[in-house]
Formats: sequence, structure tokens, C-alpha cells
Amino acid sequence: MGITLNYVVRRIVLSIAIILGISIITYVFIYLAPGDPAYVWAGRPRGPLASEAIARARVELGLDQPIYVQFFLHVLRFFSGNWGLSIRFKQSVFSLVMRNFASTLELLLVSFAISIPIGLFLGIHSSLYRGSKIDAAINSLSIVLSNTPRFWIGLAMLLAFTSLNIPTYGRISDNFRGELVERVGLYLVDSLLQGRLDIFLDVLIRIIPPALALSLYPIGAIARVTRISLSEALQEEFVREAVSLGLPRNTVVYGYALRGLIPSLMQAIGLFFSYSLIDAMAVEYVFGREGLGNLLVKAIPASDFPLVTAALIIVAIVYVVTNTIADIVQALINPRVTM
Amino acid sequence: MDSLALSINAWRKRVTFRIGLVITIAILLAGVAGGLFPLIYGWDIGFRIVSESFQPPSLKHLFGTDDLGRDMFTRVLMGTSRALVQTTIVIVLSLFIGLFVGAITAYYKGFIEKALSYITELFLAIPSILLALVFVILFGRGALTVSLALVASWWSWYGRFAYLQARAIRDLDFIVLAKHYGLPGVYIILRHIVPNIMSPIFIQALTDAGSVVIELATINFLVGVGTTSIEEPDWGLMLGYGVRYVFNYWWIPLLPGLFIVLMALGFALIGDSIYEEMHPQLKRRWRLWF
Amino acid sequence: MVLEASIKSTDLSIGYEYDYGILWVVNSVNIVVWRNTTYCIIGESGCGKSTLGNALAGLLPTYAYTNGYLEIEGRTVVRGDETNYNGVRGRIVTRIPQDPSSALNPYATIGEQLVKVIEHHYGVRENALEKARELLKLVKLPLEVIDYYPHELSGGMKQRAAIALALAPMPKVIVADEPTSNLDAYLRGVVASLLKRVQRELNLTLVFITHDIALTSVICDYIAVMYAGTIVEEGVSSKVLHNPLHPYTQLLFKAIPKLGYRETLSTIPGSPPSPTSYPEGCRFRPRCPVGFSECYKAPKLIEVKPQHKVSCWRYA
Ligand SMILES: Nc1ncnc2c1ncn2[C@@H]1O[C@H](COP(=O)(O)OP(=O)(O)OP(=O)(O)O)[C@@H](O)[C@H]1O
Ligand SMILES: [Mg+2]
Repeated sequence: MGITLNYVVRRIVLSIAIILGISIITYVFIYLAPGDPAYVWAGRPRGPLASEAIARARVELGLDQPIYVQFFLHVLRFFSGNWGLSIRFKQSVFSLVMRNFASTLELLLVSFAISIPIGLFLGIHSSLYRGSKIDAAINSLSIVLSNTPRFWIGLAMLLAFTSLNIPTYGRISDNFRGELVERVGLYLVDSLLQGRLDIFLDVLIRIIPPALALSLYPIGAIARVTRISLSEALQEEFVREAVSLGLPRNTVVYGYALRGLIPSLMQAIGLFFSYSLIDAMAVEYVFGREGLGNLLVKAIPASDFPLVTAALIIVAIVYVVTNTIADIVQALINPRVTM
Repeated sequence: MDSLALSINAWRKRVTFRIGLVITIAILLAGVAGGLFPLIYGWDIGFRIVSESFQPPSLKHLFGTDDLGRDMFTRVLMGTSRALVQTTIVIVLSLFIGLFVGAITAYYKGFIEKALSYITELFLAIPSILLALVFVILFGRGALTVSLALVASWWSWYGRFAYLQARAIRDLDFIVLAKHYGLPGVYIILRHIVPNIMSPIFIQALTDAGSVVIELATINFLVGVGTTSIEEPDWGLMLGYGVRYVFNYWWIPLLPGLFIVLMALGFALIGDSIYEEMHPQLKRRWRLWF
Repeated sequence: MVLEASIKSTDLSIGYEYDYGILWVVNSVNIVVWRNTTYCIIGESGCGKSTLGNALAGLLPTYAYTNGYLEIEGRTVVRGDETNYNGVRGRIVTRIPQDPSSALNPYATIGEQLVKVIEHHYGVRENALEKARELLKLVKLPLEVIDYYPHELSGGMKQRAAIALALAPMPKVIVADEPTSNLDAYLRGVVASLLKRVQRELNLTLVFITHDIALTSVICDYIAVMYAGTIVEEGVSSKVLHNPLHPYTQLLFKAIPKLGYRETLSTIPGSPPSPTSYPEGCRFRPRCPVGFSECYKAPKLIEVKPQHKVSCWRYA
């Protein structure tokens, strides 16, 4: 147990170091960009108020101080949650990003709730019947699925559903918008907490088409890693031993071969999850759902630098934290602790 | 096994490889055509107003015309060469950087190893799309900006891959001996480590090319939706800009997507078949034996 | 006592798929193993012992190709390239692995693994735990091992746990593939005699694959000598051990020091042929000290003395 605790502490320290590193990298960008850093931070303002905005940015960044003080101020501001104001929305970027991220996260979670079982099912059966027509079909399908642009499929789906008169545009119908009390930020959960099944259903119907479009990549990717790693695991000595003891096929496949794969599959799924973020933002925009995608699309034309970097840092933090938790859980459940 | 023999085997035995190769060659031809167009028909060929706006697909305009009356098919072909160049830049540069950083990380144990793996982890954690958007804000939208942003995040993926591969071989006799003879580190890394870890990473990169194509398109899509006009014949920008017309003129945002699918699929099919050829466990006879 | 056949193979050949085709590593093996006896297979490394053993236990990889027939306890499990071990694995035959550390499930305790097997074959849980304890007692493992993970056991304990696991489904036949090769000299004797005792007590048929000729004299009733994928000599163990007929067997036995004797150690000149280039005719011909012209034709395994077969032209 002593080793494990040590490991946990090391892992946590490393993740804090990484988060700090990311905040520093984004800070360095300001200096890398062509032009005056204050000008960049202020969103390349033009017009009568420009010089005032630039002067304010200069103070905010501490540009009149020596460089190490600037750096110190930056770290201080970072940890106190004071990440600056959005140029486009004139609000604190921190709360702006957090609010919209909840929506994106909800979409991602639903899409992975769909794609993990389907992907595993396809991968397992493709591996069990490897070389057969079933395998060829599943494997080709998963290659096609994971190589189709998700926002493009989403667009086609939107067109199809709209012409069928199924409401899919937006996150929640306008009638319910005022009635929903936001607590967690995930509307599916919030509506249930409020005991409003009608809102829940409305939200659910609207989230399924984009979630489906979004799940194409993870379905294909999960199916492929499962197929390959299960094919290898089925040749392992302890799996063959289970076979030789006459254990039934399901026990051998699920209880022996797959069980050993859980850590590496979890890691792969985590990777697909963070990779899917890029799709989530685009799909979300296509379906007119609020969220990071919609937020940033508006931020780009306004050169809203503080907002985009805040989004970058928050998403990176989520990635680092989930990864750390997954690693620690993995170390705890694996009896062969080798650290 | 050398890559030529692998490819020949893959060609003989795998339909997917043949399909992938045909698609890829078709896309390459389209890219060459798109690249030559301006030379043959003049520099403004992609921007010329050739017809009325919003013409649906027809024999004359295969993919219809856009809001300004420009021929979409011409622009998509020009987009093909753009996408090919961008994808090549992203893959080659990130592969190159990742391979060397990974090899160096594994070779120099101790502080350098710790520091470089920390940096690799750092870049792995940064979401590529947001990095790209930051770059677009800082340096303006453009093919090179987005490509470099993707390099800045993709290299870490190969960096870690190369590191793990190199770590597995760094204590083998031929490397320890080379060190013992006092050969310089650079030489050992270039001559002994990199050649021995390359091939699985190359295959991985080939499969990844499809993802890079899609990622480029997705980022440009998000950049494109916010703009008021587009000049560049870029797939992602065209789709993003065209979204506003989806309900009335569906071909504007939808048809160019076919090319993205084809290009991504071509690379992925080839990479996948070679991957299977490389793994004897995957290519030999299998039946459900228990 | 009437001898009944437990395992019977007819012209059994086994090959593995390679890039360039199928490599037949076991060729036309005809053996009969009688019930309740211990049958040893010995031979140099790479001659196909494990391949044959895996065929008996139904554990050939899927890219292995077969030919001929194999019957186990009256069930035809191999017919040409068709194999069907349903209901045979576990209930009828189990295998004791060569390397228990990779064969035991690393994610479950020994108890869980035993109980799972017993439950599957014989029902309820309480009895299963009781039965698991009995098995541990039988292989002389302390009872607390039930809560241990494989990585917490020593090499000898792991091998005993693996034996307990192989006994758990109460099979009729056990194939032990070099169960002692990873152990030191002391444990080797202990584990071998344990297996022999279990074989007698539970009335099992034991197929024992080994390099270790010294062990065979202790535990075997019958011995088969393999060379380059074929059986070159087979018979009651005392006869084979004391009066080897095949030149290969004779050289093989000379190559090991016997307790009490101080014969000069000799090795067999040359090296065993690889499956890619088995010689024509008798496969031992290139290394045989007493070969003659007849040896360019393939010899058959024939009974030259009661219960003693050899495949050599000198006895034909
Ligand atoms: N799984 C496999 N795939 C391909 N070839 C194999 C496989 N197992 C064994 N072989 C080949 O078959 C031949 C016989 O191998 P086998 O393992 O049966 O020998 P063995 O007599 O058990 O040797 P040892 O005493 O070293 O265990 C060898 O040439 C080996 O290379
Ligand atoms: Mg063996």
C-alpha cells in the first residue's frame, strides 16, 4: 500500500505541474504573436477606444513590471481564478467557459454512453469471428465510421430530421428554457432533479441526433482497438489455460481475456474522448446547441484571446484530471502493482 | 520485413488495400489537377463567377455553384491539393519531431528523460483544436497557421510512441556496446535507435493521415462559420461558410464533404491493411476454437 | 486387468501456418495410451512434444493444421482438419502448463479460480469452496493460499496451484507439458512424485512430456521417444529404458549421466533437423552411426518385441 500512496502523490504532483505548464505556454503565446502583447490581449482593438483598451491591458498584464514579476503575477492570477474578461462578451472568461463546457460535456457523455457498448460489442464479435465475413463487415464499417467527418454527417442528419419535422435544432425548446432550473449544468440531470419528465424528454430527443453523429468516431475506434487487443489476448497463456479447464466461452472471453484488457481499453477510450472534443464543438455548432463550439465560433472573429486560452486551459485540466484519476484507479485495481 | 514486401503482400491478399490504393491515387490525381488548374486556366480560376448563384449540381457544374456563382467542383479540386499539402506538412513534421524527441528522451536517462517526457505529456494534454484556434487568433487564418498548430499538438503523440518504442530497445546490446565504444550520442540516436523504431510509427502515421484530414477540415469549418466571405478554396472553410445555406441549397455545405471522406478513407484503408500484414497473429487462420 | 484405450491416434499429423505455407512438425503419429497409466513422451527440444501434447489437450493454436484421427475416451476430437473438443476439454482432459506464472489468471486469487472451475462443472458454491480446499490439501498447499494472487506465490507453489486447477474439473486424462522444467532439482522430484501419486489415487491417465530422462524411470509406465516429429520408439518403460532399440534412443540415454554409473558423457553428433528440412527416409539417418542403404526409405513403427515398438530398418 505504501508504494501505491507514493505513486498517487507523484501522479498528482505531476498533473499539477502539467496544468501549470499549460498556463505558462498560453502566456508565452502573447509574446510570440506579432505586435504589442497588450494589443493582442485586448483583442486587436480599433477605433476611438482602442488606446484606452490597450492601456488597460498593459496594466492587467503587468507589462510595466520586470519580466519575473509579470510571470509571478500571471501564476497568481491563474490560481485565483482571475483569468481575464472576454472581449466579445465582456464577462469573466472563467465562468463563461465553465457554463458552456457543461453543455459540451453533456453531449460528449451521451455520445460515449452510446458508443462504448456498441463499439465494444462490434469489436468483441469482430475479434471472435476474425477472418469471417462478419469480421470483414465490422472492420470495414469501423474504418468508414471513424474516417467520416462527424460535423458533415451531423449536417446531413440535421437536414434529414428537419425535413421530417423532428425538432433537433437547439439544446432545449424555447418554451422550457425559462422553466429549467440549472443546478449541475447538465440539462438531462437538471430536468430530472426538477422532476420534469417533459423537459427531460425534450432535451433527450434533441441531444440524440448530435450524439449519434458524434459517436461515429468512437464506435469505430473502440471497435478497432477492442478487436486487435482481444485478438492478442485470446492467444495468451492464461486464457488458453481457462479454455483447457473447459470453462464456457463467455467466461473465457469476458471473465479472462477482456478483464485483462480493461486498463488499456480505458486508456484508449479516454484518448478518444479528448479527441472527440474537436468534433463535439463542430457538431454542436451544426445543431445550434450552446456550448464551447458556439462560444468560440463567436470568439474567433473578435480575436477574443483571453476566452480561447481559457477554454484551452480548462479543457486541458479536465483531460489531465480524468487521466490522473484513471491511472490511479488502474493502479489500485490491478493486483500486479508494478510501479 | 521490408515495406515493399509488406505492400506487395497486402496488395495480393487484401481487397481493402486495393480499394484504399485506388481511392488514394484518385485523390492524388484530383490534387494534381487542382494544382494545375490555375496554371492552365489562369490564377483566378477558382474565383471566377461562371454562372448564376446557387445552381444545383448538373453535368455542367458537377457540384453546383455557390452563392457568388463560382463553380464548386473546381474549388473542391483546388481544395484537394491544398488538403494534400497541409496533411503532408502536418504528418511529416510531427513525425520528424516526435521521432527525434522520443529517441532523445529514451536515450539520455536521468534529467533529460524526465524533462522531455514532461514536455511531451504537456503537449499531449493541450487540445489540438483550441491550440489551432489560438494560432488563428494570433497569426490570422491561413493554411500554414492551422497546419503548424496541428504539428504543435500532433508531434507529442509520436513523441510518446517513439519514446516507448525506444525505451524498449535502449538497453539492448548493440546500443549499450555502441555507447561503451564512446560513439557520440547523436550518432547512436540517428544510426541505431531511430531506424529501429521507425516502421511501426510510420504505419501509425499513415493511418493517422485520415484523422489529420478530418481534423484540419473540422478546425477550418469552425473558423469558416464565422466569416462573412471566403476566398480560399479550402474544404473546411467552404463547408463552414456553406452551413448557412444547408436548408435551401444543400449541395453547398454537403457535396465537398465527399472528398474529405474519400481522402481520409484511402489513407486509413492502406494503413489498416499494412498494420494487419505486419502482425502475424492477426493475419493467420483464426476460428472460434472453444 | 483388461487394458482399455484412453487415447488413440491414427496417422496424426500437425502443422503450423507460416508465411510460406504449412510447416508440418508432427508427422503420422500412431499411439495408444491405456487408461490409468502414465505415458511419457521424451525427445530433444523442438521435436514436437508440446505440439502433440496440445493436440491431446485441445489447445493447438487456430493456425495449426491437422491430419489423421485422434480419439480421446471414445470421442473423435480430430478428423482431418476438423477439430471438435466440445465437452472434452475440462471434463475429460486438462493440461498442466509448463510455465504456471503465465498460465494462472493474474487478476484472480487461487481460490476464485478454483471455485469458478468447480462451480462450472459441478454446481453449488459452498461445496465448491470445500472442494477447493480438498484440492489444495491434495497437492499439499497450505489452505491460506486460497486468498493469494498468483504473483504472491513461489515457483513451486504456483506449479502446485496449477496442478490443483487442472484437477478441479475431475478429468480422466491429464497432459503435463514439462511441468517440472522451471523448478530446481529438489522440487522437480517432489512435483513429479506428487503427480504420480495423484494419478494413482484418482485413477487418471497421465501424459507426461519431459526432457528429463531420469524422471521417467520413476513415474512412467510407458515411454515414447520422439525425434523430428515422429515417434521412433515406444514401449513399456522398463523395456525401453533398459534395452533401448533405436540408435537415437541409445545415444540419448548415453548422453545423460546415470546415478551410480560413471559412464563417459557423450553427446549425439550433429543437431536435430529443423521442420523446414526433414531428411528423406529415416529422419535420423544423417546422424545415425549405424545407418545403411535401406534408411533412405521411411521406416514404420512396428512391434519387434512384446510391448516394444521401434521404427528402424535394423529390426524390420
Ligand atoms: N505456436 C507455434 N507457432 C508456430 N510454430 C510453432 C509453434 N509452436 C511450436 N512451433 C514449432 O513447432 C516445432 C515443434 O515445437 P514444439 O514446441 O512442439 O517442440 P517441443 O518438443 O515441445 O520442444 P521443447 O522441448 O523445447 O518444448 C518447432 O519447430 C517450433 O518452432
Ligand atoms: Mg515444449
